[in-house]
Amino acid sequence: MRRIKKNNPIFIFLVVFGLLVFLHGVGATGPLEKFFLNVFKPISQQFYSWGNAFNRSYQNRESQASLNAKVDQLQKEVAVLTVANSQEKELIDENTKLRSQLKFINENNYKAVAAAVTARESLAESTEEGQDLIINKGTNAGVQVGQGVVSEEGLIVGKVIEAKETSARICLTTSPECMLAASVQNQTKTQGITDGDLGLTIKMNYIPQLEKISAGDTVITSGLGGRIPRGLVIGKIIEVRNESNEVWQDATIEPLVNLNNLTVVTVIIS
Amino acid sequence: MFERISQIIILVLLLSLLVLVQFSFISAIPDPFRECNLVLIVLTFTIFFLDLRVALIAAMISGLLLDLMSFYFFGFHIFLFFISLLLAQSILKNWLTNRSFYTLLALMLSITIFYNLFGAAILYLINSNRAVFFLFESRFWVTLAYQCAWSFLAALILFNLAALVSKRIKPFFLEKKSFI
Repeated sequence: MRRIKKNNPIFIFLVVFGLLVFLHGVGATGPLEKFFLNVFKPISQQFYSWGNAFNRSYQNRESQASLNAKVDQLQKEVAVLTVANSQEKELIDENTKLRSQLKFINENNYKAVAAAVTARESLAESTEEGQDLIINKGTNAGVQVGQGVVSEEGLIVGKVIEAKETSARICLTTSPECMLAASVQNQTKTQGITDGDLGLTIKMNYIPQLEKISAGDTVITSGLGGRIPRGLVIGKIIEVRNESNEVWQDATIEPLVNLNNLTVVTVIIS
Repeated sequence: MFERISQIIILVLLLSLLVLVQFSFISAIPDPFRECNLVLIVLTFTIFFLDLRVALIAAMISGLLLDLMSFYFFGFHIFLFFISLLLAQSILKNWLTNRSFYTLLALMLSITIFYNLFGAAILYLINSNRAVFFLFESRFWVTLAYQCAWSFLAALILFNLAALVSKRIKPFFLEKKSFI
């Protein structure tokens, strides 16, 4: 039988690896891990912002720079106006249902925590369309799985799917399997579920055939079944697929912000 | 002793920088730049240019840092790098026994393909609710193609750089002197 030499690098590697997994499992390396993560946090934030700046300049290079800037500016304005418009609509609805205005304002007085995006998880999976974001706030700051994440403009961009002590993972609304309970701002307040489509747009599924929805309608979170409050704007419907032989119809929603350029987000805690 | 400790500290610092560039900078830039797996390229080059021992130390440090920062299960990257390096060592010992550019290229490509297939297979097995098998997803093949292209480019640059600064991989010929 061949004896394994004690100074064999493979043997040493396996011993160290086993020890690391064991110590991590029992939580003995916690303080050390926290120290390293705290040291790396500002550096990774800086690297991410450089990467994002590169991303932006690359995108701008692809089309005419001035046109892009104008479109960006207009998109921001549209986003702000849509949020204001949807809040207005929500306010009217609340009034008609004899709910107090104060309650609505309180509903928008969310307890939130601002976080910086430090990375996109894309090292080895490579099989999923769309990517998750990693932010620099975790359970220590009150972030929990299922909470909604909004952009600077107040539009919902995703939700927390995993949380560590000092960081959290967010799925973007355009990522497949990132599901949100949604409602269309039409007369019947059509309810449905949204999920991402190829990392580019959002789909709203399971809409009954009898519901009347049309392109241009704003889609907001319905506030059902989860930690995400009602009234956060998901996007605008750009296409409705309605086959007469299908039980359900579905809609394609366009997000109102560019999800590739997010650097700072806000997690709505309560 | 002091020299050894300083060597390890420098190695840790360089690898930390490399991991941070991979994790935060490269992940934020657009396709096809985003698909560059810098850590794997460096590890493969290390085993080609130096030896298994140094490559394993580098794999342990970079894998550990990636495991701490990413949201995969702990040990995912360390294990993946370890298996990839074992395969690289086996290839270098049994098939690609010389140290030419073609050797480095073949090594880079085979390790890139293995790393992606093995990593995706592990994630597929763990993530049981995934509907489509990873080999049937177009994104997987696109990423693999980009990574192979980056590996090719990296092999080209790194081999020539190494040949410039070191005599280790330069060809040498035994000249047969003619006495006529």
